[in-house]
Amino acid sequence: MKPYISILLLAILVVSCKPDPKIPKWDVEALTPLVSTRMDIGDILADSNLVTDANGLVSVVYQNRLATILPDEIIRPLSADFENTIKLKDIDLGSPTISDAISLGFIAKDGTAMGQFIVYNNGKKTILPGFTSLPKKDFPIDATSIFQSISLITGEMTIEIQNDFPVMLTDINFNLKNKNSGTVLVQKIIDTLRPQQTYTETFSLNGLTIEGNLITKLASLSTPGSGQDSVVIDTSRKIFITVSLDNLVPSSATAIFPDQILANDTADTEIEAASAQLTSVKVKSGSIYLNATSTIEDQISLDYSVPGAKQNGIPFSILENVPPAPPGGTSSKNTSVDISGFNIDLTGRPTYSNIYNTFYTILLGKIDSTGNLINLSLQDSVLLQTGVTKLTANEGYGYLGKDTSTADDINEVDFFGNLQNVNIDLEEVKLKLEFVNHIGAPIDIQIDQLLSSNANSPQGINQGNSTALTWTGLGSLYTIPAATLSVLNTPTPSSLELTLDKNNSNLDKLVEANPNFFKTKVGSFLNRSTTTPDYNQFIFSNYGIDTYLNLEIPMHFAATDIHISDTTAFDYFSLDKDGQLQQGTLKLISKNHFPFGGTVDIILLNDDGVRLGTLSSSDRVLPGKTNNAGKTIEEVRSILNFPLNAKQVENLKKTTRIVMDVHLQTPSPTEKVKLYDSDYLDMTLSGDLTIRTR
Amino acid sequence: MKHLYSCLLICNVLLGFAQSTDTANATELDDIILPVKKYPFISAKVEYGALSNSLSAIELLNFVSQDFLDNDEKEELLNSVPASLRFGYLRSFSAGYHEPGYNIFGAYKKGWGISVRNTYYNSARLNKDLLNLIFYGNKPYSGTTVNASNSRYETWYLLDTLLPLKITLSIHSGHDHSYYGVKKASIYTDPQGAYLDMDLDYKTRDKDGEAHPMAGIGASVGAAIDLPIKEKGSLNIAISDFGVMYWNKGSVLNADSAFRFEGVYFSNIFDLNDSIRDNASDDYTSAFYYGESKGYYRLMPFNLSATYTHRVEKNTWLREVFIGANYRYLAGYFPQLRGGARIKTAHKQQLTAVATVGGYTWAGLDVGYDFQIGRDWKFALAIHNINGLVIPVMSGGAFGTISVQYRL
Repeated sequence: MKPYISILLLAILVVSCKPDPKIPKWDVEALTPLVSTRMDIGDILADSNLVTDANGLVSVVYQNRLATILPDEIIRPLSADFENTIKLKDIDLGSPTISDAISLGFIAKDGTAMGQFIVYNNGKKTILPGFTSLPKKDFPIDATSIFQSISLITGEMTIEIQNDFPVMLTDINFNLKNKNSGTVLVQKIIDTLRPQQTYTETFSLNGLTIEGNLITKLASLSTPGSGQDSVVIDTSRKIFITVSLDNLVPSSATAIFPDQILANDTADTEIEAASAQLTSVKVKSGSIYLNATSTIEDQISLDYSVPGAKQNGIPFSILENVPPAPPGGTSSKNTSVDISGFNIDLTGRPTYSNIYNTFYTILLGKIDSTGNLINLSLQDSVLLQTGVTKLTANEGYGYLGKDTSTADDINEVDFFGNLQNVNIDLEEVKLKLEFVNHIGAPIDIQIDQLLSSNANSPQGINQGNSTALTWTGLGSLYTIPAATLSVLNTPTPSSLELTLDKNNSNLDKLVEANPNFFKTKVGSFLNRSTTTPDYNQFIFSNYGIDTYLNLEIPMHFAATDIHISDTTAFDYFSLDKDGQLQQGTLKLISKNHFPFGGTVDIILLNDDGVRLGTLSSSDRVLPGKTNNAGKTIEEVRSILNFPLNAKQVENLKKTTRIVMDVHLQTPSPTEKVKLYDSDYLDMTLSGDLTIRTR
Repeated sequence: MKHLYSCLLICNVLLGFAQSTDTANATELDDIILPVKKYPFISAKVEYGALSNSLSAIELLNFVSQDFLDNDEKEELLNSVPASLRFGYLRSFSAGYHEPGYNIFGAYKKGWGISVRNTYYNSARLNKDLLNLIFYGNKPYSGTTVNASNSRYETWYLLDTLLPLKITLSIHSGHDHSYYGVKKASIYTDPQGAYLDMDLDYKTRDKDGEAHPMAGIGASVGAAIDLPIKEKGSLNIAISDFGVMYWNKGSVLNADSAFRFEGVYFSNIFDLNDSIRDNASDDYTSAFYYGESKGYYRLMPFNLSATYTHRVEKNTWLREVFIGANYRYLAGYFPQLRGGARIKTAHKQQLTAVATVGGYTWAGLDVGYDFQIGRDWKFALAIHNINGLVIPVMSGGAFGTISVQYRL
């Protein structure tokens, strides 16, 4: 294709912009409904607050919690620490025992003529002649399997020697000494020891050091012989020697330590519960800890328990093992256990009686022997730290004592929903003050103050218009019985109702002011009238005493002004994005079946809340037609015209919020009307508008 | 809300209308006989104008030249309209390159060509009541029922690439399209505007009003056949742009319901937040409307014609006479009957005069003049419904064509 073809084709594209024909603008007169709605009583008053009687008469019912008194604290937060240091002097080295024996053959091997005689006649029956002494002989005693050395502050050694020779022995001269150091531990001469007789004697070892390798030295030994009697010579017969150590208080030792209890302590801990005498509590928060530090080269097992603290029937206990410390070092174990949810018995040890607010703990520490030789000194120790940290309770059982609390509460109330600045005269108002006690003890309650305020904030109550309750019951004491415990262990509350109405109070004035807040001052007295402690009482931290306002307002009233004002966001250009509206009239067409009528203004606001203008109508929404009883029997149609001139249209374009401002009145300020659930107000907003075409 | 949309839609349709076009005549003038040269040539053509059954050229010109219509001007305009207003508006540019086929030394050398055409159609048939609604609004008719049925409006904006082979194959690239067909529209306005009672049956197909490089794609064919009748007569039957266009992601709306519109209902007048407004609008729409965004097909604005031509003896000023019928698939276009003659005015110059009945006008006269300058330049000028220009106050409007051809 030649190039000029491409040029031609391109040219045709370039000149071909979209060729919409130009259309002039003009104005059209549009008359069209825009929005419609039906308002019923639920739109004016909050649906949830409405009840109707059998005839459909509407009442506003309202329940609001005016005050709540919760237990401050069931017990004061408890922290308790215990420390137990176990030193070496408390360590039991046990009673090591070493046994050995010297046979007749061993003695005969000394090479004397008597020795040769004995050896020669071994197994024969013959007369054994007497002899007076034998050469000195050492008999080793090996106790290294039990200890290597023990330096004693105090201690005892018991020596047993049993003669199994067939002849009596005399002048037995022996000693017991450490093999290495040569320190003589025992030096003794036994005058006579008949056949099968046992000699026993205990020696003091105070200040001595005992080695595991001991030597018994037999310095001399005599016998008168068998006389005229022949005896069987048996070289295997022996003299048995037993050495036992006891009551050892070491300054240091290298020994095998037996299983032993280092600590077995029981301690009482008392909680603070003001005047209460609690038999048990349920722990809300808190923990029990056990810290152990040991220099002992053996494993320490620890058992720290609180027998009275149980969860699901299982007592609380911490079981921990402290591993053997390295030589010259320490080992430790730190444990903390959350005891939230545990029930703790507070009646003390099983042997106690009439004890409250007290629980006990048991600490049991043991050495679990490893069978190894272990070095110990006086500086060695086991440090045990135990205790309770920040123990609080959310349930308490037992006598709760006497206590006084006050509640000074401000609560927001909203009796009339969207209605504001109500100037209304109510035919009837019923109110019940209800006190609900969730504490398992009798409570005396006293209302000191109740006032309503239409201030805009709680802080402004003192500056706002307030109406104080006048009632003969103010300042009087009323007793609320104790709550009971359900099978699920939750409080079944008891309650007390006090009825107020127009006959005994100025209650209607408090309500007619359409308050935003109620301020209440209530005092409560625990066990005020209780003379003898009742240990079946209980208290839960989440349950206290609630004061409720139960209000019932039959909608039978006369009103000179019921003000409804509501603000909603508005974006003109979402409705008229090209700004085609020139002017016109908005028509509010209403069909009213409420027994009140009124005026409607539409206030235009900008972002800053500045009023740009007001769309007003000289027309009114007429009330429905009512009968003599004040009930609406027929709807009435009204048309409200809101002119929209060009300036107001411009204001509308700048408007970001519109306020529907409605003032309603009953037909007469004195003749009361009734609201029924069948009442309604149908509204259609139509536009009679001049619109410029695009 | 759907019904509110319906009302607005009708207004939009009518506000968007302007003039009409008659392309049948343009086709006729394309066929003016020029000396056939067997050389390649390039050509360009511009078509522009509007035709109407009831508005004069002056009125059409006034309408599009004014910025604002006051009530007097609206009244004057609408007084010209009988039971309905029909109009067509066309603006078209085209350019092409052609190598004609010819015999040489007993052999036939095939020809070929390509042309591109950018076209905008705007066509309508509007009920008088609907026009009244459009220009005056519904308030003047409150308390009465307005019947705006049987109205149709359609615009096309597309680029065509034509490949004249044995038949003409065209590929169309759509830029924009809209169609509003109102089969039935009965509207009653409460005197206080408390409600509108509407009985509507209409369809819309709307791309979006923006010109896209490629909003739709389509294909069509064109073909013509000449049937000799006796010695000097021939019957030409032709069709062009017969095909469909697929428009991507347009607004497709089918409404057929009778309802009372009492405004958008809010259950709580004190809580007019956005979500509640939207929900109310959605509820209303779903209750009466079926509308969605999706692709759709439309039949192209094809042209169908049949012409009988009788050639006159040579050496006379009257070359041939013809009669025929023409139909264009555009809103408001009536089948058109045509009769005319081609007259030789000078060497390589020719005048064509055609009398018409139908189309967008009741009756009219088309005049064309084509001539050659030198060896290479050929021109063709035509004015359709020239009576609408000669007597501007006479209804009908006018439509012009300029065509130029250069031999390479």
